[in-house]
Amino acid sequence: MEAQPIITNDLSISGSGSADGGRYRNARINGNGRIDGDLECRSYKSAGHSHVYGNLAAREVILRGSGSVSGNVRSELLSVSGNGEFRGDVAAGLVKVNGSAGIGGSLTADTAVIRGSLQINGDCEAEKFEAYGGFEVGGLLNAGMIDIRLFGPCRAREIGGESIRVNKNGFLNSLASLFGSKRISLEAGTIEGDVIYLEHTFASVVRGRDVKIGPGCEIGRVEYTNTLYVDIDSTVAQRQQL
Amino acid sequence: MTQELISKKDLLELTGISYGQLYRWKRKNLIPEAWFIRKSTFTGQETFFPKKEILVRIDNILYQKDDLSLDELADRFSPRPSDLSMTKEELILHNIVSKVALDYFIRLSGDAEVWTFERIFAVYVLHTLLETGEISLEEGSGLIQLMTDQYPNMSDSEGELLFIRKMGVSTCFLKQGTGEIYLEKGVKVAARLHLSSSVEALKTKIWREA
Repeated sequence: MEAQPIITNDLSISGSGSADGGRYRNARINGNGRIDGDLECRSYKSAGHSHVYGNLAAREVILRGSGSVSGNVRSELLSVSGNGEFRGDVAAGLVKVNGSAGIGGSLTADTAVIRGSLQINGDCEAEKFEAYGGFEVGGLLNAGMIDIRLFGPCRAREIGGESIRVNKNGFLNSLASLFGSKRISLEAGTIEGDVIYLEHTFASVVRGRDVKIGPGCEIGRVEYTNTLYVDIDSTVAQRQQL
Repeated sequence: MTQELISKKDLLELTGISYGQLYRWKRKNLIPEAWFIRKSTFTGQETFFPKKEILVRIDNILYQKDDLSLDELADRFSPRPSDLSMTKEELILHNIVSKVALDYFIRLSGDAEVWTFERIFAVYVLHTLLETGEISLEEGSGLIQLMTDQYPNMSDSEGELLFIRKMGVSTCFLKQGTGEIYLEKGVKVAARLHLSSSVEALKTKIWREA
Protein backbone atom coordinates (compact mmCIF):
# COMPACT_ATOMS: atom_id res chain seq x y z
CA MET A 1 0.00 0.00 0.00
CA GLU A 2 1.20 3.46 -0.86
CA ALA A 3 2.04 5.60 2.15
CA GLN A 4 -0.19 8.62 2.48
CA PRO A 5 1.86 11.81 2.63
CA ILE A 6 1.02 13.99 5.57
CA ILE A 7 -0.65 17.11 4.32
CA THR A 8 0.15 20.27 6.21
CA ASN A 9 -0.74 23.03 3.80
CA ASP A 10 -3.83 25.09 4.52
CA LEU A 11 -6.04 27.02 2.17
CA SER A 12 -7.38 30.32 3.31
CA ILE A 13 -9.45 32.91 1.50
CA SER A 14 -10.33 36.12 3.30
CA GLY A 15 -12.25 38.87 1.63
CA SER A 16 -12.93 38.00 -1.94
CA GLY A 17 -10.93 35.48 -3.89
CA SER A 18 -10.64 32.19 -5.63
CA ALA A 19 -8.34 29.19 -5.55
CA ASP A 20 -7.82 25.90 -7.29
CA GLY A 21 -8.93 22.70 -5.64
CA GLY A 22 -6.55 20.06 -4.42
CA ARG A 23 -5.58 18.46 -1.15
CA TYR A 24 -5.27 20.55 1.95
CA ARG A 25 -5.31 20.14 5.69
CA ASN A 26 -7.76 22.90 6.48
CA ALA A 27 -9.66 25.06 4.05
CA ARG A 28 -11.19 28.31 5.26
CA ILE A 29 -13.26 30.88 3.47
CA ASN A 30 -14.20 34.11 5.16
CA GLY A 31 -16.09 36.47 2.92
CA ASN A 32 -16.62 35.54 -0.66
CA GLY A 33 -14.65 32.64 -2.03
CA ARG A 34 -14.65 30.21 -4.84
CA ILE A 35 -12.76 26.98 -5.32
CA ASP A 36 -12.35 25.51 -8.78
CA GLY A 37 -11.89 21.77 -8.98
CA ASP A 38 -12.20 18.91 -6.52
CA LEU A 39 -11.31 19.73 -2.96
CA GLU A 40 -10.10 17.20 -0.43
CA CYS A 41 -9.30 18.34 3.06
CA ARG A 42 -9.66 17.53 6.72
CA SER A 43 -11.83 20.47 7.55
CA TYR A 44 -13.74 22.82 5.29
CA LYS A 45 -15.26 25.86 6.91
CA SER A 46 -16.83 28.78 5.18
CA ALA A 47 -18.45 31.88 6.57
CA GLY A 48 -20.09 34.19 4.11
CA HIS A 49 -20.46 33.14 0.56
CA SER A 50 -18.66 30.12 -0.87
CA HIS A 51 -18.73 27.96 -3.98
CA VAL A 52 -16.89 24.75 -4.67
CA TYR A 53 -16.94 23.88 -8.36
CA GLY A 54 -16.14 20.21 -8.03
CA ASN A 55 -16.48 17.40 -5.52
CA LEU A 56 -15.81 17.96 -1.87
CA ALA A 57 -14.38 15.27 0.42
CA ALA A 58 -13.59 16.16 4.00
CA ARG A 59 -13.90 15.02 7.57
CA GLU A 60 -15.97 18.04 8.47
CA VAL A 61 -17.82 20.54 6.33
CA ILE A 62 -19.20 23.55 8.14
CA LEU A 63 -21.03 26.17 6.15
CA ARG A 64 -22.24 29.42 7.65
CA GLY A 65 -24.04 31.89 5.49
CA SER A 66 -24.49 30.49 2.06
CA GLY A 67 -22.43 27.80 0.46
CA SER A 68 -22.68 25.62 -2.59
CA VAL A 69 -20.95 22.58 -4.01
CA SER A 70 -21.46 21.68 -7.64
CA GLY A 71 -20.39 18.04 -7.27
CA ASN A 72 -20.74 15.35 -4.62
CA VAL A 73 -20.05 15.85 -0.95
CA ARG A 74 -18.54 13.20 1.31
CA SER A 75 -17.87 14.03 4.93
CA GLU A 76 -18.24 12.67 8.44
CA LEU A 77 -19.96 15.86 9.51
CA LEU A 78 -21.93 18.24 7.34
CA SER A 79 -23.32 21.25 9.12
CA VAL A 80 -25.24 24.02 7.39
CA SER A 81 -26.27 27.18 9.18
CA GLY A 82 -27.94 29.38 6.65
CA ASN A 83 -28.25 28.02 3.17
CA GLY A 84 -26.49 25.14 1.48
CA GLU A 85 -26.85 23.99 -2.11
CA PHE A 86 -25.40 20.66 -3.21
CA ARG A 87 -25.90 19.67 -6.81
CA GLY A 88 -24.70 16.08 -6.52
CA ASP A 89 -25.04 13.31 -3.95
CA VAL A 90 -24.32 13.88 -0.31
CA ALA A 91 -22.93 11.12 1.91
CA ALA A 92 -22.22 11.98 5.52
CA GLY A 93 -22.21 10.58 9.02
CA LEU A 94 -24.07 13.41 10.65
CA VAL A 95 -25.98 16.03 8.71
CA LYS A 96 -27.22 19.11 10.52
CA VAL A 97 -29.21 21.75 8.75
CA ASN A 98 -30.24 24.93 10.51
CA GLY A 99 -31.87 26.99 7.83
CA SER A 100 -32.26 25.47 4.42
CA ALA A 101 -30.49 23.02 2.19
CA GLY A 102 -31.03 21.61 -1.26
CA ILE A 103 -29.56 18.40 -2.62
CA GLY A 104 -29.70 17.67 -6.33
CA GLY A 105 -28.93 13.97 -5.97
CA SER A 106 -29.54 11.75 -2.99
CA LEU A 107 -28.63 11.94 0.68
CA THR A 108 -27.08 9.08 2.63
CA ALA A 109 -26.38 9.66 6.30
CA ASP A 110 -26.30 7.98 9.68
CA THR A 111 -28.20 10.79 11.29
CA ALA A 112 -29.91 13.75 9.66
CA VAL A 113 -31.26 16.56 11.82
CA ILE A 114 -33.15 19.21 9.91
CA ARG A 115 -34.33 22.43 11.52
CA GLY A 116 -35.75 24.50 8.75
CA SER A 117 -36.18 23.08 5.32
CA LEU A 118 -34.56 20.48 3.15
CA GLN A 119 -35.14 19.59 -0.43
CA ILE A 120 -33.77 16.38 -1.92
CA ASN A 121 -34.41 15.46 -5.54
CA GLY A 122 -33.42 11.82 -5.14
CA ASP A 123 -33.68 9.39 -2.24
CA CYS A 124 -32.86 9.98 1.39
CA GLU A 125 -31.41 7.17 3.50
CA ALA A 126 -30.48 7.48 7.16
CA GLU A 127 -30.54 5.46 10.34
CA LYS A 128 -32.16 8.40 12.05
CA PHE A 129 -34.06 11.20 10.33
CA GLU A 130 -35.33 14.11 12.39
CA ALA A 131 -37.07 17.02 10.75
CA TYR A 132 -38.43 20.06 12.52
CA GLY A 133 -39.83 22.10 9.71
CA GLY A 134 -40.50 21.25 6.12
CA PHE A 135 -38.91 18.97 3.59
CA GLU A 136 -39.36 17.48 0.20
CA VAL A 137 -37.92 14.15 -0.89
CA GLY A 138 -38.39 13.36 -4.57
CA GLY A 139 -37.84 9.64 -4.12
CA LEU A 140 -37.86 7.33 -1.12
CA LEU A 141 -37.27 8.51 2.42
CA ASN A 142 -35.87 5.39 4.10
CA ALA A 143 -34.76 5.57 7.73
CA GLY A 144 -34.73 3.39 10.80
CA MET A 145 -36.25 6.08 12.96
CA ILE A 146 -38.20 8.87 11.37
CA ASP A 147 -39.31 11.71 13.59
CA ILE A 148 -41.11 14.55 11.85
CA ARG A 149 -42.42 17.68 13.54
CA LEU A 150 -44.53 19.51 11.04
CA PHE A 151 -43.76 23.21 10.85
CA GLY A 152 -44.03 23.51 7.11
CA PRO A 153 -45.10 21.56 4.07
CA CYS A 154 -43.54 18.09 4.04
CA ARG A 155 -43.59 15.78 1.09
CA ALA A 156 -42.06 12.50 -0.01
CA ARG A 157 -42.92 10.10 -2.80
CA GLU A 158 -42.50 7.14 -0.44
CA ILE A 159 -41.57 6.72 3.19
CA GLY A 160 -40.28 3.49 4.72
CA GLY A 161 -38.63 2.51 7.97
CA GLU A 162 -38.90 0.84 11.33
CA SER A 163 -40.46 3.59 13.41
CA ILE A 164 -42.24 6.53 11.81
CA ARG A 165 -43.66 9.38 13.87
CA VAL A 166 -45.29 12.48 12.51
CA ASN A 167 -46.40 15.14 15.00
CA LYS A 168 -47.77 18.60 14.64
CA ASN A 169 -47.04 20.79 17.59
CA GLY A 170 -49.75 23.11 18.72
CA PHE A 171 -48.59 26.55 19.62
CA LEU A 172 -46.22 27.61 16.88
CA ASN A 173 -48.47 26.16 14.23
CA SER A 174 -51.58 27.94 15.42
CA LEU A 175 -49.49 31.08 15.35
CA ALA A 176 -48.40 30.31 11.79
CA SER A 177 -51.94 29.67 10.65
CA LEU A 178 -52.87 33.15 11.86
CA PHE A 179 -50.58 34.51 9.18
CA GLY A 180 -52.22 32.33 6.59
CA SER A 181 -49.12 30.29 5.79
CA LYS A 182 -49.37 27.22 3.60
CA ARG A 183 -51.17 24.20 4.89
CA ILE A 184 -48.83 22.45 7.23
CA SER A 185 -49.04 18.74 6.60
CA LEU A 186 -47.22 15.71 5.32
CA GLU A 187 -48.03 14.33 1.89
CA ALA A 188 -46.79 10.95 0.75
CA GLY A 189 -47.74 8.26 -1.73
CA THR A 190 -47.03 5.29 0.50
CA ILE A 191 -45.86 5.05 4.08
CA GLU A 192 -44.59 1.68 5.29
CA GLY A 193 -43.09 0.79 8.65
CA ASP A 194 -43.31 -1.37 11.74
CA VAL A 195 -44.64 1.22 14.16
CA ILE A 196 -46.38 4.23 12.64
CA TYR A 197 -47.95 7.28 14.22
CA LEU A 198 -49.29 9.99 11.95
CA GLU A 199 -50.87 13.38 12.40
CA HIS A 200 -52.02 15.75 9.65
CA THR A 201 -50.90 13.39 6.94
CA PHE A 202 -52.28 12.79 3.47
CA ALA A 203 -51.28 9.45 2.04
CA SER A 204 -52.63 6.98 -0.51
CA VAL A 205 -51.48 3.88 1.35
CA VAL A 206 -50.18 3.25 4.86
CA ARG A 207 -48.87 -0.22 5.69
CA GLY A 208 -47.50 -1.38 8.99
CA ARG A 209 -47.60 -3.62 12.00
CA ASP A 210 -48.93 -1.18 14.58
CA VAL A 211 -50.57 1.81 12.96
CA LYS A 212 -51.98 4.79 14.79
CA ILE A 213 -53.70 7.47 12.76
CA GLY A 214 -53.89 10.66 14.82
CA PRO A 215 -55.90 13.79 14.07
CA GLY A 216 -56.13 15.56 10.74
CA CYS A 217 -55.26 12.66 8.42
CA GLU A 218 -56.72 11.55 5.14
CA ILE A 219 -55.58 8.08 4.15
CA GLY A 220 -56.78 6.10 1.17
CA ARG A 221 -55.99 2.68 2.48
CA VAL A 222 -54.46 1.26 5.66
CA GLU A 223 -53.08 -2.28 5.78
CA TYR A 224 -51.93 -3.48 9.17
CA THR A 225 -50.92 -6.76 10.72
CA ASN A 226 -51.30 -6.16 14.44
CA THR A 227 -53.15 -3.07 15.69
CA LEU A 228 -54.89 -0.07 14.16
CA TYR A 229 -56.24 3.05 15.81
CA VAL A 230 -57.92 5.84 13.90
CA ASP A 231 -58.67 9.23 15.44
CA ILE A 232 -62.27 10.42 14.98
CA ASP A 233 -60.89 13.54 13.33
CA SER A 234 -59.32 11.53 10.50
CA THR A 235 -60.63 9.60 7.55
CA VAL A 236 -59.43 6.26 6.30
CA ALA A 237 -61.26 5.12 3.17
CA GLN A 238 -60.26 1.45 3.35
CA ARG A 239 -58.77 -0.60 6.11
CA GLN A 240 -57.58 -4.17 6.02
CA GLN A 241 -55.96 -6.41 8.58
CA LEU A 242 -53.50 -8.87 7.04
CA MET B 1 -36.41 -12.15 -20.48
CA THR B 2 -39.41 -12.62 -18.28
CA GLN B 3 -38.98 -13.35 -14.62
CA GLU B 4 -41.51 -14.23 -12.01
CA LEU B 5 -42.24 -11.36 -9.67
CA ILE B 6 -43.51 -11.29 -6.11
CA SER B 7 -45.24 -8.32 -4.51
CA LYS B 8 -43.81 -6.79 -1.37
CA LYS B 9 -46.88 -7.74 0.59
CA ASP B 10 -46.68 -11.40 -0.44
CA LEU B 11 -42.96 -11.43 0.20
CA LEU B 12 -43.36 -10.22 3.78
CA GLU B 13 -46.13 -12.71 4.41
CA LEU B 14 -44.15 -15.59 2.96
CA THR B 15 -40.88 -14.85 4.76
CA GLY B 16 -42.25 -13.39 8.00
CA ILE B 17 -39.99 -10.33 7.87
CA SER B 18 -41.26 -6.84 8.61
CA TYR B 19 -41.29 -3.62 6.59
CA GLY B 20 -38.66 -2.26 8.96
CA GLN B 21 -36.29 -5.15 8.25
CA LEU B 22 -36.78 -4.87 4.52
CA TYR B 23 -36.04 -1.13 4.51
CA ARG B 24 -33.06 -1.62 6.80
CA TRP B 25 -31.59 -4.25 4.51
CA LYS B 26 -32.12 -1.99 1.57
CA ARG B 27 -30.27 0.81 3.36
CA LYS B 28 -27.42 -1.57 4.12
CA ASN B 29 -27.28 -2.61 0.46
CA LEU B 30 -28.14 -6.20 1.27
CA ILE B 31 -30.85 -5.99 -1.37
CA PRO B 32 -29.85 -4.30 -4.60
CA GLU B 33 -31.73 -1.24 -5.76
CA ALA B 34 -32.45 -2.90 -9.12
CA TRP B 35 -34.61 -5.53 -7.44
CA PHE B 36 -37.16 -2.98 -6.31
CA ILE B 37 -39.48 -2.86 -9.28
CA ARG B 38 -42.23 -0.28 -9.10
CA LYS B 39 -45.42 -1.04 -10.94
CA SER B 40 -48.85 0.45 -11.13
CA THR B 41 -51.64 -1.77 -9.87
CA PHE B 42 -55.28 -1.14 -9.11
CA THR B 43 -54.33 -0.19 -5.53
CA GLY B 44 -51.78 2.34 -6.75
CA GLN B 45 -48.01 2.02 -6.98
CA GLU B 46 -46.72 -1.29 -5.66
CA THR B 47 -43.23 -2.68 -5.35
CA PHE B 48 -42.34 -6.07 -6.77
CA PHE B 49 -39.22 -8.19 -6.58
CA PRO B 50 -37.72 -10.89 -8.78
CA LYS B 51 -39.13 -13.84 -6.88
CA LYS B 52 -36.34 -16.39 -7.06
CA GLU B 53 -33.52 -13.97 -6.32
CA ILE B 54 -35.18 -12.20 -3.42
CA LEU B 55 -36.26 -15.41 -1.70
CA VAL B 56 -32.74 -16.85 -1.91
CA ARG B 57 -31.31 -13.58 -0.65
CA ILE B 58 -33.64 -13.29 2.31
CA ASP B 59 -32.98 -16.90 3.21
CA ASN B 60 -29.24 -16.15 3.14
CA ILE B 61 -29.63 -13.03 5.27
CA LEU B 62 -31.76 -14.79 7.86
CA TYR B 63 -29.35 -17.73 7.91
CA GLN B 64 -26.31 -15.56 8.59
CA LYS B 65 -27.56 -12.47 10.35
CA ASP B 66 -27.02 -13.78 13.87
CA ASP B 67 -23.33 -14.38 13.28
CA LEU B 68 -22.46 -11.33 11.23
CA SER B 69 -23.02 -7.62 11.25
CA LEU B 70 -25.11 -6.19 8.45
CA ASP B 71 -22.01 -4.52 6.99
CA GLU B 72 -20.21 -7.85 6.82
CA LEU B 73 -23.25 -9.34 5.18
CA ALA B 74 -23.37 -6.51 2.67
CA ASP B 75 -19.80 -7.32 1.65
CA ARG B 76 -20.76 -10.94 1.05
CA PHE B 77 -23.66 -10.06 -1.16
CA SER B 78 -21.77 -7.42 -3.04
CA PRO B 79 -21.18 -8.37 -6.67
CA ARG B 80 -17.72 -6.88 -6.41
CA PRO B 81 -14.83 -9.30 -5.96
CA SER B 82 -13.82 -9.64 -2.40
CA ASP B 83 -10.39 -9.45 -0.78
CA LEU B 84 -10.61 -12.93 0.64
CA SER B 85 -8.09 -15.57 -0.34
CA MET B 86 -7.62 -19.31 0.22
CA THR B 87 -5.03 -21.99 -0.27
CA LYS B 88 -5.30 -24.71 -2.87
CA GLU B 89 -5.89 -27.33 -0.17
CA GLU B 90 -8.78 -25.34 1.32
CA LEU B 91 -10.43 -25.07 -2.08
CA ILE B 92 -10.51 -28.84 -2.44
CA LEU B 93 -11.26 -29.56 1.21
CA HIS B 94 -14.33 -27.35 1.25
CA ASN B 95 -15.54 -28.54 -2.14
CA ILE B 96 -15.43 -25.07 -3.64
CA VAL B 97 -14.12 -26.45 -6.93
CA SER B 98 -13.43 -29.93 -8.26
CA LYS B 99 -9.92 -31.32 -8.32
CA VAL B 100 -10.14 -31.86 -12.10
CA ALA B 101 -10.87 -28.19 -12.70
CA LEU B 102 -8.20 -27.05 -10.28
CA ASP B 103 -5.48 -29.32 -11.67
CA TYR B 104 -6.24 -28.25 -15.22
CA PHE B 105 -6.16 -24.61 -14.21
CA ILE B 106 -2.81 -25.02 -12.46
CA ARG B 107 -1.35 -26.82 -15.48
CA LEU B 108 -2.22 -23.90 -17.74
CA SER B 109 -1.97 -20.91 -15.50
CA GLY B 110 0.47 -21.93 -12.79
CA ASP B 111 0.20 -22.60 -9.11
CA ALA B 112 0.18 -20.13 -6.26
CA GLU B 113 0.77 -20.21 -2.55
CA VAL B 114 -2.31 -18.17 -1.78
CA TRP B 115 -5.21 -17.91 -4.19
CA THR B 116 -6.79 -14.51 -4.59
CA PHE B 117 -10.51 -14.19 -5.08
CA GLU B 118 -10.12 -13.40 -8.77
CA ARG B 119 -8.17 -16.59 -9.39
CA ILE B 120 -10.58 -18.64 -7.33
CA PHE B 121 -13.40 -17.15 -9.36
CA ALA B 122 -11.70 -18.14 -12.61
CA VAL B 123 -11.41 -21.76 -11.43
CA TYR B 124 -14.94 -21.64 -10.14
CA VAL B 125 -16.29 -20.56 -13.51
CA LEU B 126 -14.37 -23.39 -15.18
CA HIS B 127 -15.63 -25.81 -12.56
CA THR B 128 -19.24 -24.70 -13.00
CA LEU B 129 -19.22 -25.06 -16.77
CA LEU B 130 -17.47 -28.43 -16.61
CA GLU B 131 -19.88 -29.69 -13.99
CA THR B 132 -22.91 -28.84 -16.09
CA GLY B 133 -21.25 -30.48 -19.10
CA GLU B 134 -21.62 -27.34 -21.16
CA ILE B 135 -17.98 -27.31 -22.13
CA SER B 136 -15.26 -29.93 -22.32
CA LEU B 137 -11.97 -29.82 -20.47
CA GLU B 138 -10.06 -28.96 -23.66
CA GLU B 139 -12.35 -26.04 -24.32
CA GLY B 140 -11.48 -24.76 -20.86
CA SER B 141 -8.06 -23.49 -21.92
CA GLY B 142 -9.48 -20.49 -23.77
CA LEU B 143 -11.76 -19.81 -20.86
CA ILE B 144 -8.88 -19.83 -18.38
CA GLN B 145 -6.89 -17.44 -20.53
CA LEU B 146 -9.91 -15.14 -20.83
CA MET B 147 -10.69 -15.18 -17.13
CA THR B 148 -7.11 -14.57 -16.01
CA ASP B 149 -6.17 -11.97 -18.63
CA GLN B 150 -9.37 -10.10 -19.37
CA TYR B 151 -11.75 -10.47 -16.44
CA PRO B 152 -9.67 -8.21 -14.13
CA ASN B 153 -9.98 -5.47 -16.76
CA MET B 154 -13.74 -5.30 -16.49
CA SER B 155 -14.71 -2.11 -14.75
CA ASP B 156 -18.35 -2.93 -14.23
CA SER B 157 -19.47 -5.85 -12.11
CA GLU B 158 -22.51 -6.23 -14.35
CA GLY B 159 -21.75 -8.48 -17.27
CA GLU B 160 -21.81 -11.93 -18.75
CA LEU B 161 -19.55 -14.68 -19.89
CA LEU B 162 -20.62 -16.31 -23.12
CA PHE B 163 -19.39 -19.51 -24.59
CA ILE B 164 -20.36 -20.11 -28.21
CA ARG B 165 -19.84 -22.80 -30.81
CA LYS B 166 -20.13 -22.94 -34.54
CA MET B 167 -19.54 -26.09 -36.53
CA GLY B 168 -17.65 -27.66 -33.66
CA VAL B 169 -15.35 -24.67 -33.17
CA SER B 170 -15.79 -22.99 -29.84
CA THR B 171 -14.82 -19.66 -28.37
CA CYS B 172 -15.74 -17.54 -25.40
CA PHE B 173 -15.94 -13.87 -24.55
CA LEU B 174 -16.91 -11.46 -21.81
CA LYS B 175 -19.59 -8.87 -22.23
CA GLN B 176 -19.70 -5.82 -19.99
CA GLY B 177 -23.01 -4.21 -19.15
CA THR B 178 -26.51 -5.45 -19.67
CA GLY B 179 -26.91 -5.10 -23.43
CA GLU B 180 -28.16 -7.87 -25.66
CA ILE B 181 -26.05 -9.78 -28.19
CA TYR B 182 -27.17 -10.98 -31.59
CA LEU B 183 -25.60 -13.91 -33.36
CA GLU B 184 -25.83 -15.40 -36.79
CA LYS B 185 -28.01 -18.47 -36.87
CA GLY B 186 -25.25 -21.07 -37.22
CA VAL B 187 -23.93 -20.12 -33.80
CA LYS B 188 -24.98 -22.01 -30.71
CA VAL B 189 -24.65 -20.50 -27.27
CA ALA B 190 -23.20 -23.33 -25.23
CA ALA B 191 -23.08 -21.50 -21.94
CA ARG B 192 -24.07 -18.16 -20.58
CA LEU B 193 -23.04 -17.04 -17.13
CA HIS B 194 -24.15 -13.95 -15.32
CA LEU B 195 -20.98 -12.66 -13.68
CA SER B 196 -22.30 -10.78 -10.67
CA SER B 197 -24.59 -13.61 -9.63
CA SER B 198 -21.73 -16.07 -10.09
CA VAL B 199 -19.48 -13.96 -7.88
CA GLU B 200 -22.23 -13.93 -5.32
CA ALA B 201 -22.82 -17.66 -5.61
CA LEU B 202 -19.12 -18.31 -5.08
CA LYS B 203 -18.99 -16.04 -2.05
CA THR B 204 -22.00 -17.72 -0.54
CA LYS B 205 -20.50 -21.13 -1.20
CA ILE B 206 -17.21 -20.20 0.42
CA TRP B 207 -18.89 -18.79 3.49
CA ARG B 208 -21.26 -21.64 3.93
CA GLU B 209 -18.62 -24.30 3.49
CA ALA B 210 -15.51 -22.78 5.01
